[in-house]
Amino acid sequence: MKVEGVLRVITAHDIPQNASFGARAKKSQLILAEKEVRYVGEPIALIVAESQDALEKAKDLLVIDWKPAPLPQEEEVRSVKFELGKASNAEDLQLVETTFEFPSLQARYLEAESGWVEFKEKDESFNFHIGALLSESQRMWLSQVLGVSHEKLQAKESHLGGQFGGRQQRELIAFLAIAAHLTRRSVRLHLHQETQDIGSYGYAGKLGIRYDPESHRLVELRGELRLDVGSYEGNAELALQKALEHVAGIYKFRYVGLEGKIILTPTHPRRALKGEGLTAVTWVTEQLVEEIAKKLEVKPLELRIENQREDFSGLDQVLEQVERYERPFELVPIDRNRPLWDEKFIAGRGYGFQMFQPTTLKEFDYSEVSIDLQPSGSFVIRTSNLTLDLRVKSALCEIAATVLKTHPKAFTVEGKMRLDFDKPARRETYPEFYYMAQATWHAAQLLKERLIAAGQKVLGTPHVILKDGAVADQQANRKMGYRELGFTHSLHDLKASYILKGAERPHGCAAGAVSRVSFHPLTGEVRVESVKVILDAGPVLYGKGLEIEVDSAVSWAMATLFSSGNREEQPIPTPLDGPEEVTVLPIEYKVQDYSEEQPELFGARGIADVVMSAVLASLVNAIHDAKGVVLDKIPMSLEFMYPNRRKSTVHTLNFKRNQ
Amino acid sequence: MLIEWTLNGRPMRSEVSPFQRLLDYLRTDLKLLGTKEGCREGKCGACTVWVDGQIANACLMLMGQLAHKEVTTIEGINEKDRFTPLQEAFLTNSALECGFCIPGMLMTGTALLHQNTNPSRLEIRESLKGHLCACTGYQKILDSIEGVGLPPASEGQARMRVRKP
Amino acid sequence: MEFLSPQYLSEAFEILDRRGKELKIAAGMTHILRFHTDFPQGLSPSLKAILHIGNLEVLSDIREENQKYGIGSTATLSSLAADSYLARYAPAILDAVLATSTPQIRNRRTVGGEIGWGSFHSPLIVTLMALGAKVRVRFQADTGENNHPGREDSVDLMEFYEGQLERTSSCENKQVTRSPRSKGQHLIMKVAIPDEMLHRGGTFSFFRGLRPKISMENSGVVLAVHGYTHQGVIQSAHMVASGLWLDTLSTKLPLEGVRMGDTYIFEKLYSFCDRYSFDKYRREGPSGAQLGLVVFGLLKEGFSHLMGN
Repeated sequence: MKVEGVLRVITAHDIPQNASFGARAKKSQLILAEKEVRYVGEPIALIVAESQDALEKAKDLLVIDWKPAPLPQEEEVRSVKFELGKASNAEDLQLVETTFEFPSLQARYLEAESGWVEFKEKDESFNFHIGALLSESQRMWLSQVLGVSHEKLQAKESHLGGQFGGRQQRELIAFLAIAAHLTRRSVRLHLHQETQDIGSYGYAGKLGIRYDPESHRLVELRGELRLDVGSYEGNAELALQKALEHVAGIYKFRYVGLEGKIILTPTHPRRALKGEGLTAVTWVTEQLVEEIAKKLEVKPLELRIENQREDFSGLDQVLEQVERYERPFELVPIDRNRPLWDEKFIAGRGYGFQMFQPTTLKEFDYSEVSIDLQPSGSFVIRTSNLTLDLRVKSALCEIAATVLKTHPKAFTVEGKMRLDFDKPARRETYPEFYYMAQATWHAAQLLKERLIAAGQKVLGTPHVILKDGAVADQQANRKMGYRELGFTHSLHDLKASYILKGAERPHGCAAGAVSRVSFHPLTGEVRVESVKVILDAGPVLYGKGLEIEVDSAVSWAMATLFSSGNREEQPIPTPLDGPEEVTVLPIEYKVQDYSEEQPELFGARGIADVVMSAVLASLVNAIHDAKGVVLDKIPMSLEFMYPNRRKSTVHTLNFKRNQ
Repeated sequence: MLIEWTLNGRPMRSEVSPFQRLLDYLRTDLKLLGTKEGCREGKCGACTVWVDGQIANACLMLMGQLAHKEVTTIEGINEKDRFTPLQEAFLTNSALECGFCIPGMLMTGTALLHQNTNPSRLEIRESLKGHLCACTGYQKILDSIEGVGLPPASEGQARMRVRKP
Repeated sequence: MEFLSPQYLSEAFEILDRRGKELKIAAGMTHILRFHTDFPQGLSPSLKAILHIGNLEVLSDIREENQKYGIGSTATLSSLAADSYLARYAPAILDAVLATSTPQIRNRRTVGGEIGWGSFHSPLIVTLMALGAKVRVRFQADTGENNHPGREDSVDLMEFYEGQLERTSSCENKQVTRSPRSKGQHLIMKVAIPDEMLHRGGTFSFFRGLRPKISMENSGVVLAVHGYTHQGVIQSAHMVASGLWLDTLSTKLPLEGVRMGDTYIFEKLYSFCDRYSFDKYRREGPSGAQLGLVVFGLLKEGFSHLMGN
């Protein structure tokens, strides 16, 4: 039966190649389900129509031939063992252990209108208007799905509005592309919030540390970790591996023995969220370390310093600086003799630490960036990614501006196809900002040299420097702006491009966080008073980027800990939820000047993950300190916050009436 | 129903269902996409507009309520060919990541600064209570509203935020 | 579904009388649109029209008349917060409004809407109750057998509600609110606070609420206190409390004869809350004993603030 206004109903067999969503896992989700569905809400058909009304009518008329095939509530698909060092049979070791649960976080992304694609009949090309990145590899994937040349696939980024890093991105671009391809029309997609279920992986398990009470050494770490990934495995194996590698945190154990399992449950497939893996486990380890410090009656920082790993030199500094900045702040112990009606705020302080040591990179080509000076005197940065969000763009502008000694506003950033660059097309994975930033810096450095060379030619002197947005003859103090240079000199010389490849191991990252919270003794209300983060992120060009990561980590950690857990409520703090004070203190490194030799990479990998983990752990430990109870489940339950009647004798009140 | 109202300074006569939400009318019929649909429940603030000079959620207003009212959207506060001081401050302070919440934040921030050119940080927080940002943690947004008119902090320095009383 | 937006009060009364139960009366629409995200679909099929009274300026006045301070039902919450008279004589109202929802909502939500919806966690309702507010209501005329014209009546806000109303929407939202005592169709015209509650010498009042977690928009407990002192000694103090966790309770606080400023107030309040049977009023959440601590905590904050601590 035809419904007026409906253009097409698309099922799996209509798609030229109904590919999986990129993961190499055993059970991967296809664009549209073919033979089986594994969760309520799994897409099986696309209805393309000219109006909302027509869509609703068609949806009601759709008949699906299906029969139930009950799935097990839980199915273990993968088991991974992780072991380091040698187990000990020493009997004089003591144990602290806990179970833990770190649930799937329902991020409930706010953007409903997810994008549209413009289809041009003339050349059968697609131009995507979406909020987030469209990387080269996604374009390649899509060209295979549709069976069209990737040259036909373009993207025009929205000025604003994002899909938060592209968590549902593959579905969105696939749905848009398939709908446009098969109807030969431009198509818009609108995702309803009720059908978005972008939960993250759920973690649960058990962790225990055996320690030597004499030497204060943390000797063994053992545990189990289960990862609930929903119906499809996705990239869970990577997340699990990362988690297992980081359970030990910043500590040197003689033995680490962990087992991890990936479990499928018939629910919406989960996606990675910020700080994946690391964040799910760090808070557990850090609480156990605090417990040990309490039992040994040792200062928590001292215990950490005694047991820190030695393979990351920045860790020393981080621990030292945390201690230094926090030293003036002493928590006043509660006077237990105060009358019941005069309770004071219960305060707690907690520390959290984590580090990430990336592996050495093999030969790769990650990013190509070019920078051109225009006759107008402004610059265009082109990167080999089709779309970039505003933050990435402004960061690249800042980097180039620092090198070229001008204002970030002098730059615009364009995403381009690989084929538009001088160098031949190469494979590219997801465009990581880290590598784009490096390539931008190098390109800017190369351009700087060429600008100086051009300036020497035009000014007729060898003594030329770049000075505050101009090219200056040092001795005669003649100056010309970039505009004049662009105008008078050949534009072919005033550009530079750089491909990042064959890099050494990037700088690792270590972070320490200190948080202070207080609980109202009577209403139970919790306040986050302050969060300090000291971090070693290597030589950093874009300092604001570190602040942004910390601010975001604090907000996210508060959401994780203090959200109600009700689906109706957004688990995001408002600006009024605090904390009052967020302080970011990076360990300073000098950025190496450009010379004949290629400098080391600047910045660090894994900053977001490490900062997230450290901040969340510090907040958990602050709660642990205030309440005297190990938190084994996140978010903190409301019951945990209700006030408790302090057991005490009844006071005899000596009162007098005022006349 | 014929509704006579004003939008971004322009008198409008709209033949529209009184039950259509202002947000939908702006985005779907008028193609003014600056006002965003985030939650449809008046919790996220992404749809913030001015109605008779006061901030309101466009998702919680029906066209039938707008007779003789003056509505201003983000397009209405944009200046031609340049950014407003607050927009500049947002960019300079890197106050945005995905940017989805930003038009709403700008509407409220601008309204606040019209009433009070030097709000305290607490006043800014309170005025932004109806906004959610899943990306930034708000500090830089607060910095931007607080610091409109001040020069941006220089790169590479650790920022100790000192609270105004 | 019709949308009726009369320009004059008489027109609104005429529609009310003629169409009564077919109508949903609304002004700011914030409660309704938030709860029914698919509005107007999903409303009861018996509803045929929305009577929008938001444009009736005569109902938005806030002023003193006849020894009462009158707040029109279509006055927005933010206009209430901006009223300098109330800020001076009933700061509890200002605090209650500022504790309500968000600035955007407050700019549209009306006093009548807040009372009509009847949330247990509404800061304004408990505060108006503590201030002895009366609600002026216009009832639908009875054109049937009894045939009497629409009448107006003033009802104590404390008596305006009876029991609970379980609201559900087609989008599966659920909320339990207070239920209006009168089951007939009615239009809230204004709320009036007796002058003597505001002007009598030595009057004090405060509002306090508890929102326990960041994502919980609605308060577990809201309470308001109103009382009088004479030469610095408390003559009477009355508390009204409710919330997600509490049904409405209204009680005298045992503070007569205590000097305002004497920390003995806290001992008395603690002892009172310790012994009060909050279990009777408990709706959900913490235990009765824990509620006692919460209520005491809020009272303590309120009195401390009054005492300048």
